Amino acid sequence: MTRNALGREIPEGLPGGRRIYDGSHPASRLTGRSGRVKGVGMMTAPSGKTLPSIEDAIRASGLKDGMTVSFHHHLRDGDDVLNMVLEACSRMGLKDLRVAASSIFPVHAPLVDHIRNGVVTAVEANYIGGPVGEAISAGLLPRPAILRTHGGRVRAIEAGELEIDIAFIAAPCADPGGNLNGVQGPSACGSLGYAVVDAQYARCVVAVTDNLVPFPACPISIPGGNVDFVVEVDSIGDAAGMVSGSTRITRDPVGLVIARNAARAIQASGLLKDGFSFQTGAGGTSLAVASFVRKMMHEGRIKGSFGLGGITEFFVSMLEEGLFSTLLDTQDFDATAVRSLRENPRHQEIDCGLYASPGRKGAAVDHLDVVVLGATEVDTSFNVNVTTSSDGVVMGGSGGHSDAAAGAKLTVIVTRALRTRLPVIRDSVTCVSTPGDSVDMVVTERGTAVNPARPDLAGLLRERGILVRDILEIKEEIEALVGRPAPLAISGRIVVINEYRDGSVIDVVRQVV
Amino acid sequence: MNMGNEHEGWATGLASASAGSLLSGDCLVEVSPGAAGAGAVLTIESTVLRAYGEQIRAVVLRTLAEAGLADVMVKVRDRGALDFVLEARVKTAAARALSGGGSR
Amino acid sequence: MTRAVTPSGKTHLRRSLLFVPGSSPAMMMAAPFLGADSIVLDLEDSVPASEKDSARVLVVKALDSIDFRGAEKVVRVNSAGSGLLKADVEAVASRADTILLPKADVESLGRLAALLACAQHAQVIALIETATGLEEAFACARAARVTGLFLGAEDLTLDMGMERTREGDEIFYARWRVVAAAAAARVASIDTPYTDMSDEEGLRRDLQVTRRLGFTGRACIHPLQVEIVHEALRPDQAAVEWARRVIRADEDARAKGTGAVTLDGRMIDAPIVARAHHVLDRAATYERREVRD
Repeated sequence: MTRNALGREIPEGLPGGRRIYDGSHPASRLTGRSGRVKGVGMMTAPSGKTLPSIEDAIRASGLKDGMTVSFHHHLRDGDDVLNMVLEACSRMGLKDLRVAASSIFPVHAPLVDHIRNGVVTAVEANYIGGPVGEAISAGLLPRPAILRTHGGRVRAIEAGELEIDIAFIAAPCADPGGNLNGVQGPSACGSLGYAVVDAQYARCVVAVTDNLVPFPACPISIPGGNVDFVVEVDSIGDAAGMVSGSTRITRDPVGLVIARNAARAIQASGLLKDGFSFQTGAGGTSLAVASFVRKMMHEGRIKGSFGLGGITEFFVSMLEEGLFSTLLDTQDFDATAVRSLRENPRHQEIDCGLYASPGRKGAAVDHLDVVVLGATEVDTSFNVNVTTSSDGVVMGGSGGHSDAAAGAKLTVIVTRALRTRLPVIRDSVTCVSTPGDSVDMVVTERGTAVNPARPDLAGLLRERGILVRDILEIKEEIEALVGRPAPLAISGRIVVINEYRDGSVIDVVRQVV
Repeated sequence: MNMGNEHEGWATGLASASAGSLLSGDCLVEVSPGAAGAGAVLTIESTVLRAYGEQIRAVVLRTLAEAGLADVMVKVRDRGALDFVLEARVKTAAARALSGGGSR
Repeated sequence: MTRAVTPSGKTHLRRSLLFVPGSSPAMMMAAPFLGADSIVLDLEDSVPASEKDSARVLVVKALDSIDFRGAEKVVRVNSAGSGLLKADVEAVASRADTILLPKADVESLGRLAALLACAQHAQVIALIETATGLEEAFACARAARVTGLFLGAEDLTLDMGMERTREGDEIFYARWRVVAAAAAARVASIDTPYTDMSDEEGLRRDLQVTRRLGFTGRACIHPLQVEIVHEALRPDQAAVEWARRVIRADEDARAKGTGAVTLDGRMIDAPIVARAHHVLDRAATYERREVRD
């Protein structure tokens, strides 16, 4: 057992020869070459790539026991493709598969049975929610699951650390040549940003669509040269499932107070001026911050440069009101965002690597002024947990959290310090997702804690009359109110390896007894 | 709320009663007469059971003792109530039980 | 200017009074973070009859356990006619800053004062929401312990058989009467809450009346109203500028020994100078309040 740079205990001899997190800048230790060798080939017939069923595609792709299959999560909790493909794999008697999905949601609950039955024995993702997270936390998988960041997954694929045999790409629109987009069709989901790297690097790529159009698709988001087969099904999912509870502005009065204070802090930082760039996480409080910032931008006649990330109708409004010059879109959360991507040239689709990879010599997150993010837990070193609950159960994952936090000039975490009876601010987080040195301030209902590494910031906030408090004080205040929670009873068994964006191990999740 | 223990309740002067709610931050406390000599028999269900179960138990037992209840069955369905809320709800349920019962 | 100073010297601004049901732990826990000057823990209308005992116990424990972060702790007890007043007051008087007495009139305020003999520091706000209370407004404002009059238009119009409208013409006299009585007795005056929680624009419009009549504060039934009330009652820049000029002109005149002061061709006499000081005092409290938030 050894300790990484954040003091987290990491066992020796982790699979894949992984390094442990040492706190240095990721770029200084990146290895590997990008670019893969794809086979060349001719199209044998006008319908050459189309196959009648998923099972036919699985056979044609050469999928065998022990291989790695990948999926994107642009349909979020409305996705059908992952379930359909694994159901077919199970029927066909395939075993020991590794699932490398960019994210896993409650709708993917059938995966638990596939794990139980040995169809799937390894899982890698950037976010795991719902029953699959619970099952992994309970130790159902024979080996630890791997959680990465959105940017880190791209880096890993491009560096050859994650090799994908078959990529199954849910495509709201596809033509028989394999050209794909996400903005048309009954299941339109908008950007296909997470699927691009899979299309470029997987040994075989299968597009699954419910909207096969004559050649050529327009627009073309993923070119057919990267796609081997196209399968048409009745439905790839439910676009309404894209809009989950976490993408609406909060109505909770305390959340709104926190959001207003966060917006004031952003204003106090001096970054809210012409050229301002902005990203928010998917939580209700983060979005509320955006609504206050929007008002401030209108009042100050501020012309921002770009809005980034997961795009909601809110950011679309800001674009249409002239508050941003462009939106850089890696994922869409609602129908308005999809419509805007389709119709507005200033709303641009970008791939996940351009969004957040540390291996691309500069991604969008590295140009970002301000990001507003949530947290399950924050410790007195400002480390953030968005991976597990306080009971040690996996219910999330960094997604883009660590990437945006690392890149942005100002990283603002918005959260209650105390959620009913759960302390959010604590001595040590249950699992580190984002290291404290990426976090500049934590805005709570009890005051704002500023990272000691930013005394300049603390001064600016105080000048504006914002209540700045020591994070230790906030922690003690809530502990006095609710008492210290009983420590987690954990076994020695590792159920999740948490990889930072550079591939090093920033923390592990142990099985709870 | 009738738990079927009317005969014993009558003997000990205690009726069944409840107080509180299942809303977030609150708890629902149900008190009913227990077997003579059995002391306080406590069942706790909580959204924060792992983290605070022991503490909840201690607060409920202490408050029952302060209310002078000895042989009682208590069921607590907790939704993250702080200690002062647990105390308030147990105290109210106890007072109601001692004065004829019900949830008013 | 107002008499809202306790024997212990605590002054309560009372720009906003936020109502919270005394039966809701979650709302009482959230209240201190919502920015209101005063928090009213309610034992009366928001608590059903079957839960009065439960709410009383909870409010007592809440007063002992929750940090209200500088907000005034007000408890609305049940009315003198409810049979619950004595138990309520005995439970909370020593713990709250202020008791809000519903359906207040001279007689019930007298009974309350007698019950408060044990609690030296407790102030009283009289809730004027009956015809009798309105007729006795000035006497209520001067009753023992009273440091504020609060207009309750919903119950008042009910008691008087009036039709309640959004525009509020029917309560204009009641508003005037309460403000005048409070001003004459030098106590705070609190305007009736705006009951349409979804109508922000309507609240802003109605707050123009609150402000023009000189109410010192307004009741809020939803947290999102608090910020809007504070903004509406804030002396605006023009008023602050004017006040500074008036005071400068007055000081100049004193220094030179000239009798009458004029500013922009208008006569500035003592009441206007006093008013200017009041405007600056109010503005200053907004500066201090922002730091507290």
